[in-house]
Amino acid sequence: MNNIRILLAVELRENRRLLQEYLGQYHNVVMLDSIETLDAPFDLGIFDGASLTRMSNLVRARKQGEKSSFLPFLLVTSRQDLNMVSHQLWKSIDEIIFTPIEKLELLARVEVLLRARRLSLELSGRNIELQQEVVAHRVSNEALRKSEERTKLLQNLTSELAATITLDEVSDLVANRIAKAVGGHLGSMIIVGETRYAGEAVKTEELEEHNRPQEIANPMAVSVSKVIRTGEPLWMESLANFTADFPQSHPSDLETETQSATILPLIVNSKTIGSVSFYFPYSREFNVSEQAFFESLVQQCAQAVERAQLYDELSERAALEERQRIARDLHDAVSQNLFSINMLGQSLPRLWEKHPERAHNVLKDLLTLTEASIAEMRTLLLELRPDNLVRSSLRTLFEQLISAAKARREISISSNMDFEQPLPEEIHIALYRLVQESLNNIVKHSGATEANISLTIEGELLILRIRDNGRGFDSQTQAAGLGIGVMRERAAVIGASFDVITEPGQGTEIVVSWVIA
Amino acid sequence: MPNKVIKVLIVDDHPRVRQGLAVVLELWDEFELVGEASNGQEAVNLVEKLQPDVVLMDLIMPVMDGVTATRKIRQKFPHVQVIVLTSTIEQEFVDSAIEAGAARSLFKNVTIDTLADAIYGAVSQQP
Repeated sequence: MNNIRILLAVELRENRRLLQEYLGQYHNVVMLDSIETLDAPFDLGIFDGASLTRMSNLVRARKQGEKSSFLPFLLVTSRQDLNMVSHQLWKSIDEIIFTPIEKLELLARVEVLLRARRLSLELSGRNIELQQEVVAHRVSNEALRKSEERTKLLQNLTSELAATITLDEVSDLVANRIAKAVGGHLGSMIIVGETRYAGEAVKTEELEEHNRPQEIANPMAVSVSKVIRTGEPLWMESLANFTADFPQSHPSDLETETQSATILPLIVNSKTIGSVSFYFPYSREFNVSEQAFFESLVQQCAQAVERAQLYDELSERAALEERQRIARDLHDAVSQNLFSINMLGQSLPRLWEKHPERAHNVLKDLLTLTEASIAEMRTLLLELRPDNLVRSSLRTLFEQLISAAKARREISISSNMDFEQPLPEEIHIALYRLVQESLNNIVKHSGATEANISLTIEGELLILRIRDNGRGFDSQTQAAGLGIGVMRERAAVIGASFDVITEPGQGTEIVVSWVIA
Repeated sequence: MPNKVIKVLIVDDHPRVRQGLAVVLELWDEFELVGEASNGQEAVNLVEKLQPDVVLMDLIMPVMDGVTATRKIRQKFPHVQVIVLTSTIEQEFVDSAIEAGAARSLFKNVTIDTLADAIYGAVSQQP
């Protein structure tokens, strides 16, 4: 026996009996009077003319109700009564079997109809599955589209974060651009213990205060401190979350109009150093994809913070190195000169008595030393006040450098300046540094007795030349120690060409050429 | 005060310092400036060549610093006395120079009379 149900609606008793006997062996046979309505489930309806005539509307309605499935109806009738089947009734039936009923014929026809019924049910089921797959595909496409949008947003925000340099820039980006881009109306970044930062900074002891449960003066601060302490994010999808977590507080304690928020730990080198928060003016579901998005975003913020902190450290180190260099220069030049001035000053009274002519020369030396020390001090003061460097003319700066060089050893240095026009700031500073470095080399290493600095125009080119009559050097092997590489880079940065003409015993000439725009 | 001429070698990488010290030495007839060096290696070479009685030694110099030069000179030429004359405020440098065999250390704000006394004092320690 299988699950097939055959409805018999046959008024003639003998036919009904035969049909039940023949079909009952293989299928469930249900009588019409045993069901309440034609809506009861069955797979094949067998009707005679009388039943069909009486119930034709119900039969048509039932067939239509099957929608995409085929529900067959078999008419049992005599050949004589066939003419009585109206056109309308023909629409309700799918097959006819004539009485007297032959068992084999009946079974064959029933089997054909039931096979058609099975096939249609299979097709209908497959159709439903396909429709479900289409819906699922649409949902998946929508999810994919949202995922693609988030990825693109993350890429754009990552690029913007990569362009930040200082902590203030990172904080500003988080609070404004990023908060808006993720649909929020507020954003904030907190770094514990950071002082080089105009944004929110929380001292460690303040963090401890926020942990005292009886003081919920600022519930958001408590949430932030919890995130920083645990290193775990908080997802507040609605005001209900907030009031549940902080029953003593009032929703008005939240920022105005905030309905949901997320607070994520800022993790650098596996350590939670602060937090990033976003506040939204609507309830927001933070599903798995959303959480992954915000976590990736805050990871990028952490990397930007790490870079900014490194930049600050490097800037501080550079400033410290510059101060140390100035201190070194003060020691190297000025203090040594002052020692000598002191020695000569103390010696002069006695020398005047012993050797007046010699004393006269020493007095001249003393004056030279004093002037030279003043020049060296002026140069160092320029270094300490770089804006003065830009405001002073190249002639003044070169004269100062020459005086300072003479302070350090006996050397005759001349200069000729054929060009006195104002130059772009970076060119002005670069030329100053090149002359400074060259004179440094001349004083320390060249052994020269004479040197010359010239700044001239030749066609479209501004040419800086620094020449000395010193010992020269092998430019292949000795350049690094003399800072030639640094000078070459300095020239390259401003787009100038840089040449060194030198040989051992032949003096040195440095030529820097820059195209005047 | 001893009458013999005291031969002095000046060692400092700053020409102006050497110039100032040379003028000071002129004030005393007993002091003879025999040479100048601009780094520790030159100093060691000149000590061997010139055999001074006293070396006025700076500490912070390129090529070879004053502490190393002092150690080498005192090991090879124990009769040569070294007086450290420095502007460095780092005491451990000065202490190292004394450990290396310097007779005395003076800061570069010294008076010329103190410098002269230091030279006389160093010579009196000669073996």
